Formats: sequence, C-alpha cells, structure tokens
Amino acid sequence: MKNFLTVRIPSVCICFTLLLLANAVLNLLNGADNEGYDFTVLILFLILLLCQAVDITLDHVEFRSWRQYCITESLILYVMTLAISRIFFWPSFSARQLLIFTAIFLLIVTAVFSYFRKLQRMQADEINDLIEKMQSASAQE
Amino acid sequence: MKLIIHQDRQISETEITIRCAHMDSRLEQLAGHIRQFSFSLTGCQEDKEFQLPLEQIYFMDSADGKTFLYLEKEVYYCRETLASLESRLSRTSFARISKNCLINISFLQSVRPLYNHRLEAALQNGEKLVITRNYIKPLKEKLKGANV
Repeated sequence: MKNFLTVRIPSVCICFTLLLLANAVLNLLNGADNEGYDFTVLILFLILLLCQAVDITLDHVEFRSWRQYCITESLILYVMTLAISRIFFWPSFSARQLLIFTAIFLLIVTAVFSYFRKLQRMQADEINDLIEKMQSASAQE
Repeated sequence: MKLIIHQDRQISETEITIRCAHMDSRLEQLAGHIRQFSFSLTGCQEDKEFQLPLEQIYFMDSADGKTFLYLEKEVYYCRETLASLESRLSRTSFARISKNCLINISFLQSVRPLYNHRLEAALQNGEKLVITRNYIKPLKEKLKGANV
C-alpha cells in the first residue's frame, strides 16, 4: 500500500504528464495540432503549474485546521480554473457547464486531498512507531 | 556488553571510556547519549547566565534573530544562532523540524498530520510544534538512528 501511494501513483502521474506534454509540443512543432487538442494539453499543464504556485504560497499561511486549509485552497483553485476555462475553452457559459465543471472539480479535489491526507497519516504512523520503539528501548535501559 | 563503574573520591572529572572491537551504530547511539550529558549550553534570563544541561532542553527556536532554549517550564535566551547550535548538536538527540526549530527527540511524544504536508509534534511537556515537509524525512532518519 505504501509503495503504491508513494511510488506508483506519483510515477504514473509524472509519466502521464510528461508524455502528454511531449506529445503536444511535438505536434505543435510539426504543425499537426488536431483541432486544438495540443493547445488544450498545454493549458492544462499551465493550470497544474498554477496549482503548485497556489500550494507553495499557502505554505506560508497559518491555518487553524485541515478543513480550513482544504476549503481555502479549493476555493482559490476553483475560481482560478473556472476563469482559465472561460477564457480559453468556453465561448459561452451555461448553468449545465458550470454544474459539470463543479462536479468534476470536486471529484478531483477530494481525490487529491484524500491522497495527501492518507500519505501524511502513514508518515505520522511511521514516526509514532519509531517514537514508541525509542521509548520502550529507553525504558528497558 | 560489560558495564563497569569505578567509583573513586579522588577522581576530579568523570571520564567514560568505551572499549570495543568495532564502533557500530548502537555504540554510536550510546556515545550520542553520553555526549548529550556532557554538553551544557549557556542560557540567559534577566541578565543572569545559567549552564543548562542538554538533556533538560526540550526544544530550541529562533524568532526575530534571537535564539531561545525551552526547558520543561522555563525559557532562556541563548547568544548562539540556531545554525551553530544545530552543527554543534548534530551527533546528539536534537533534530531540526522547521527553519526555526530544533527539538530533542528524547521528549517527542507523538506526531499527527496537519494541513499542507506538515506534521504536528507533541512534546512530553504538552508543547505542540510544527514539523514542515522538508524536515520530515531527516527526522525519521534521526529516529531510525535512535532505534538501531
């Protein structure tokens, strides 16, 4: 499980992103853009970079709880991705579009936050095990 | 391993000698504990200087360019920088957990996940400190070293 979460999932994500990116750049260089698909990939990559920038910025903010942090980051990312989608992909704007976008956004955000929450829980458990071992060794001494 | 304690009133300074065929990681750990006991840091409180035994210091932090040493209940000001303390104490039970904090892992009680890839460390005196993401791995290594 640990290997799956810390190695497999990140390596699949990294490889997938790099493959899509390389493919999009090569297609654009060769003039083989298929109805804006490669441009879409590059914009999605830009969104990922902006997400990282938001995450790094929020590192410097003190939050009272995990929930407050999740809500704040989600709201910022929601507004940001919505604006980018409107500028680059949506010539018009409908309630149905917004609803689908919100549902997909919530799904992705929930998956990402759950993934990192699980990862941190595992890190904490590992450290607590080490502390316990250290304390029982000291008690034996 | 044999433990021999030789008491003699004529000995002015306590001396510990480790006689071994090979200095393995367990002995390194033991030596680290002994070093901690032989160390003391100078802490200041209301213009008075105190020698603080290292094994009584829970954690150290820096704020506004000043370094503070935290015992169970008291706080002392220290003239040394956190970076110099960190390098001096590298072979003891002190570990850095954020840009401005070193903790004594002997007093670490537990950790719990916090937001944004951080952990919260609870010390035995009830103090809560934040472990930032860059220092989680080194802390784990330090704890693993303590358990070898």
